[in-house]
Amino acid sequence: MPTPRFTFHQPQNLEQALDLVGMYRTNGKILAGGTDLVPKLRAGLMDVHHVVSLNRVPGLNRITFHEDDGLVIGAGARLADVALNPEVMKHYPGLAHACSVMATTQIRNMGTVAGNIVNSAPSADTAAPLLAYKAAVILVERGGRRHVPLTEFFSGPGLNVMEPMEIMEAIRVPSPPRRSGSAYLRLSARSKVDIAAVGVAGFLALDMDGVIIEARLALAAVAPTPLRCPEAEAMLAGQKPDPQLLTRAAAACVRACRPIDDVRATAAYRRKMVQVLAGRVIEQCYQTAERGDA
Amino acid sequence: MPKIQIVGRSYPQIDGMEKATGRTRFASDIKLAGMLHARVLRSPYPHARILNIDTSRAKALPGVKAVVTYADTPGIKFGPRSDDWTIFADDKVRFCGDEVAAVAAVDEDTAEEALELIRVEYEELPFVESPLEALKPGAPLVHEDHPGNVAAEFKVEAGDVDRALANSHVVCEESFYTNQTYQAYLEPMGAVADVDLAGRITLYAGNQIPSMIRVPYAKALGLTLDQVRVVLPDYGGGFGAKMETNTHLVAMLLAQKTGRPVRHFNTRHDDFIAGNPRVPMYIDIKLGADKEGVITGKEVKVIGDAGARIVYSQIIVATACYRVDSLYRFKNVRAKGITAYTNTVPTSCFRGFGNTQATFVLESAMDILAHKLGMDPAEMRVKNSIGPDSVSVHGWKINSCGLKECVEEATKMSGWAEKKAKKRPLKGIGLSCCNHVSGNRAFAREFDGGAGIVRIGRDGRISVYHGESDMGQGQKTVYAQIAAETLGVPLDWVSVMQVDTDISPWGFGSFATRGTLMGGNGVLAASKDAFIKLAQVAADMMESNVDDVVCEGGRFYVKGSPDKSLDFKEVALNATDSNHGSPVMGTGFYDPPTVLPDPKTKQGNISPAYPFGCQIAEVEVDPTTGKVTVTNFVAAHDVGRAINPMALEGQIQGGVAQGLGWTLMENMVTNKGKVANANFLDYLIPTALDMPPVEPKLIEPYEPNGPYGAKGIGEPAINPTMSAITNAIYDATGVRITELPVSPEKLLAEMEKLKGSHEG
Repeated sequence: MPTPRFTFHQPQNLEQALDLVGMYRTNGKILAGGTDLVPKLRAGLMDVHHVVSLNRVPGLNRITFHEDDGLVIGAGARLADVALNPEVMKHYPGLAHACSVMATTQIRNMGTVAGNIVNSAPSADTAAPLLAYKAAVILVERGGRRHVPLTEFFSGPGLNVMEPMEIMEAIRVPSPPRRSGSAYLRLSARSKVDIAAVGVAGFLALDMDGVIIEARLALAAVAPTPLRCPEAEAMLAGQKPDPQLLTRAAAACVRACRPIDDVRATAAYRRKMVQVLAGRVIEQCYQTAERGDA
Repeated sequence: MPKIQIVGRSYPQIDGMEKATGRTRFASDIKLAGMLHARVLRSPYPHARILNIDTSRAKALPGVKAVVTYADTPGIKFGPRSDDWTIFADDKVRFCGDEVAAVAAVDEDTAEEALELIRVEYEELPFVESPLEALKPGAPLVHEDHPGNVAAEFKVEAGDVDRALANSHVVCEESFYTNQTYQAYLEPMGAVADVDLAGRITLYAGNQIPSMIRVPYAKALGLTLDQVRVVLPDYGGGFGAKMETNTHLVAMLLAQKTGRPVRHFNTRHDDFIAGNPRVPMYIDIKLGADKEGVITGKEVKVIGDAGARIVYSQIIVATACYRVDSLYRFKNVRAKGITAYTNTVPTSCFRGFGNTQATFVLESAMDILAHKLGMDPAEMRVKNSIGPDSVSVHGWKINSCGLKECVEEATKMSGWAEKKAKKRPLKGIGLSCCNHVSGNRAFAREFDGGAGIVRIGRDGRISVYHGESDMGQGQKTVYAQIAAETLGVPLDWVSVMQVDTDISPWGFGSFATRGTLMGGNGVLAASKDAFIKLAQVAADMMESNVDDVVCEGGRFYVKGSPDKSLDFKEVALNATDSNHGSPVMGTGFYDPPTVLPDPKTKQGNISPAYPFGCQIAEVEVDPTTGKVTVTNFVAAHDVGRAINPMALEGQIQGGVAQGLGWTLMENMVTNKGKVANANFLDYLIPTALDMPPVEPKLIEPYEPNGPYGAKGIGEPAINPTMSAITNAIYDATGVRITELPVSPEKLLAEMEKLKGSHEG
């Protein structure tokens, strides 16, 4: 492949960025960390004439948390910054974990959470915990802004509902209630520095008696898109977990997935591992939730 | 005599700081004035007839200086050890990645663009991926002149194997498979070629055999040997792969066509699909032992995958058939090896050269027999261990041998006895031994020694010339140590010069763990010669006898009176001046006492010295995911006298890392004739984060044939790693691994099968 040639734009504010994105909607791409975009450009996978960088737009790299409003992750927030943010580590341990184990140190220092979501890989590590946390994305375009729940965002491998003129401004994650717990576990062929072969995220909220009020489970790398597991979630709601329930709920997660064979693992192994990891995730969530007021 | 001072001490690599600070100019950094850039068009099909190639549009692209295909070559068949190579595919392509055409242009982008303008009409042919399929009647033929796709056959027999196996108390009969892996060096293969007006080519190529590589290249281009000069820049690793390659010939041919320097380096993708990965092998073994655990007989059948042409695969298969027979006191052995052509990437040397595959198999079988006999696997190794001053079943003369000491040290360091006694669930410990060579006479047939030139300048600077190849393993430092030690000067007075075949001795190069022993002995001989010449001058200056003169720390003195000394540099100045500018030149060579194996009986002695080793791995297995974690590793190696302990330890740790990668994750996957994971995202190699602590231990018996008593380490460092880990997995789970690599999925399935058979 000849090296791709394109014009590189560095807008100074969101309005300029939106103008450029609108202007080049047919042959332009947005760059945040560039860790997915640049390799795709190099491989000649896309015909791009204009690259619009968000890196000079002020305020986009913010990570803020309020007890009432929850967490806001700006489009420019790097994976490494999210991973090490004390509020994220405290209130969203599953997300912090995903951001700290995915990819490599170099990629985590450049890549963004928003980029991971926009790239919409089936194996996107941050997608599973964000789904479990009931996150929504804020999409802006010239003269408009919309909130899209993450459950409605992905539409296929590398595909999502974003319009060509839209920019993802931020990701909003609701504040977790007291007595809740969450976790993310992943499995890959190499212990570190590898794409997830299977990822499972969970969130449980308990009442004072330890009964599950709300359960949310999400999977990555086992279907065309990251996805939630409504059947398993419904099984857990209103229950106190016991080994049998855990096994049944994990089995429901297996039913939700639609894995493929590839060089990392076969579909059969992926199903098996969803069972194993889902069981572990639910247990971990429950233990953290029971421990207290997090 | 002064005592040994520089040999045996740990030194950082003499070029290490340059490399660590990014100052080293590697092969791919070379830029010559007017240099063009080349790219190769490779076959998208595993097997297809070429009906037509139209290069006209590519040639018309501005910036393109030449487009070449088979029609532009002399059309001579050649090969390192065969004649099944052409520079470009002639009538048909034989693997996905086969060279079809190439472009030289003013920059890489233009060359890439031109490739897209070349139109090739193919007629797809049925293809064969596996050597087992290839050998079946009616399989598609890779080369029409090789019926049955048999590229080569090898047979060896000694003693009476059938009787020995029949009379055994226990016999292990098992089939193994070792997969295809990629050497994953940091710098892909490539070269810059330059042609002068007389048509003489200078090739700047990072490769392991700078002298030998000229022979097939000259033949391929219809040149005489003297018309091909090779200069060896620093380069980013090889592990066996960087020998002959069409990648170099493309640059040479395009340089001839354009009259300008041409640079051609593989992209990483090209390097994966058209490099020289490891020879996959199917190996069946029968191994017998008596009640006491003494080996009675061994039979192996090896089927190796050459890919679409022979690089060195047939010699690698032969090596897998019988090299490991000098590890133990075998008396009855028989082996048959078949090397088969397939429509896949040609395979070749990779650290261990067939002995890695064979060691995995033998040491797994030894473990099986030890368990059948209820015997400590370590004890069984020691009981059968070949000893020093012995002759192996194939006539190989073992001088030094620290194999027993390796087992003793490794078991002590790892707490083997306690851990075997106190079995913990899902935790295991496994042991494996190995032998190897330091030079391979069967490979370098004309001679297999080494030579050196040592020049001492008027300024006292010492330049060492050799013909081997330092790809990062530390050869330069070892040669500098040998020269400094022999001359009695500080290490930093010595420069080890770039190999340039116009200047350097003819060397066979770096393979077969031969660099330290062969090249080192060559440097030693040249250093001794230079020393005598300079010592004569010093003796004259001190009015003494040359035999009484010694040099230590850069000062000559007469034995017994170190107080009255002469500066080495003063002597060098004097020597050059009295010879009207001629520097002191020492030359020398090493003639190893090797014996080319008899073509029929295979009796011979392929190496002047044989290194040994023992490695022990500890693992933990996750019973729900099948994931193996190697938690601890010890590696005791008989290296002869250590010249640079730090470098040896680094080699050992690197070998273990590479072996761990092979065992647990590395696998070139071929799907419909194409390598499906030709990138580092999908072809996994271990990172630092995957490595357990690896504790090396050097066992140092003096080797009479080695320079200062040294043997080699390159390949033995990886030979036992795979079976050490898989034997530990057996100890942890009861699952016997017979196929590499051990994916979590495969292990989990085997564990479930085992559980089912216990419960059912």
